[in-house]
Amino acid sequence: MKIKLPFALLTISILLLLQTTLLEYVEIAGVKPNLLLTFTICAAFYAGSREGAAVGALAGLAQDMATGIIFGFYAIIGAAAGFITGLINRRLYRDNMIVLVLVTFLVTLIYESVVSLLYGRAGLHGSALAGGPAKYWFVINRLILPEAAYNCAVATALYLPVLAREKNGKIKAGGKTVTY
Amino acid sequence: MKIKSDAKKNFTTAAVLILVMVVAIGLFVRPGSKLDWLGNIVSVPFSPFQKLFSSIGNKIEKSITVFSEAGRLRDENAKLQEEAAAAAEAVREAAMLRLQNEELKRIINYKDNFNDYEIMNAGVIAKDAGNLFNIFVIDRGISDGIKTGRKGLYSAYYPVVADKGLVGRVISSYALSSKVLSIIDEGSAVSALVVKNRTFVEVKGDITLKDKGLCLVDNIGLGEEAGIAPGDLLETSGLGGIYPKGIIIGRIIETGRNEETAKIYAILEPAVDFARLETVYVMKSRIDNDGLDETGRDENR
Repeated sequence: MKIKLPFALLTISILLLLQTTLLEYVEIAGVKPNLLLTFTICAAFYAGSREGAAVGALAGLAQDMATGIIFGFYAIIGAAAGFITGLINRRLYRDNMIVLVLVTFLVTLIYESVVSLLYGRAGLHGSALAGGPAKYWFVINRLILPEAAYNCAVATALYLPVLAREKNGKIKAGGKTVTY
Repeated sequence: MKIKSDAKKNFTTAAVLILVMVVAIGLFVRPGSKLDWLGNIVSVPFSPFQKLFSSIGNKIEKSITVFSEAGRLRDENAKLQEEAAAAAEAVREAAMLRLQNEELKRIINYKDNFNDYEIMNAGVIAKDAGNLFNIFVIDRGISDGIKTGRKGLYSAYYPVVADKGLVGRVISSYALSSKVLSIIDEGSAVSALVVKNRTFVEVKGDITLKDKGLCLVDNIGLGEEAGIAPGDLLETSGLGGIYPKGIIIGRIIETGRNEETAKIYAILEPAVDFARLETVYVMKSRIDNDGLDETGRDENR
């Protein structure tokens, strides 16, 4: 296990607290980053699809409990996001920041699109498609794309220390890759 | 003998001088004396220098005074600053108390107007984690008697208001907290009345207006007879059974016609500023979920 459960739980708790309280103060044009999703992507990028899915499920569950309506919805799509990111990780270089940024952007785009399209909120919400293409374009253009860009910046900040630690580990191990 | 002669000469000179001076004083002392011009001999050439020297003297004196009084002035300045700060604080407190007073008056108004409801204050403790929806969490839950869901024949609804108007409603409750769906959320729809002409409309949350804290007014009806215009006040109609009748929702700020559907729409600015929401009030019906009031009497008979 590259990511220990207590570490994941503690990080998710801190990020959830930040996400639902202080993050509104760093909104840009009414958009804030999704710290839980970004952490899921970073975790999956670092540790692979299985652990990525687990972290995504835990983070989604936390979001379901905090502000969700359909219990388990965010847990399922969080797990899916983690799993898919982990699969990409297997095929690409995980010590490449550009790849991480691209993956974060893509996964955020898919994740939030799924949320806006499927999250019926037990009859409370209509799908974003119900408002027609103009409304859906607004959602993509004004909410999802800026959030994806914001998440990329957060992912870079979150992953840099991991990358630095990994490079340090390689140097210590005489250039061989070691597993933590 | 020479000495004696000199003394006599000096005495004479002094006596003459004194005499001249006494005469001169006598002449000068009269106002408008013809000898006043003699004063110009000294005053004209000297006055610029006098001014200069006086000015220098004054400045030196002032400087000396400043140095000598620096300590006293510093103390006085500090004291005045303290007094100014205290006065500013008092003014701020007075303004805050006035606002609180106005807020309390409005809340008392709620209590007077909605006798069937218990008004419970609650703090907003968390906002929605995402960017797409507008749900927030308050610090009142099941332990405070907020129990959402269906029980028997009735569903329990808990409207949430702020001092100025409608905020939304509780959609789920937990032991110590509850989730509130705000009226600007895409999933919210409130049956409303235009106060001026009692026309029924629907106030809906719209994702494209959410970030500006605005709502969409729909189902206005066809034709100009709908009579809705900017500035019109909207309140809850009481239809639907979720919100009691008469809670202020907000004012119309814009009207228009959808070119595709030809339907009239309007944009409403809620009375509540959702960006600065810290304290809200949950309206808990005094009639419980089984349709019985606190004394056990059937209210629906």
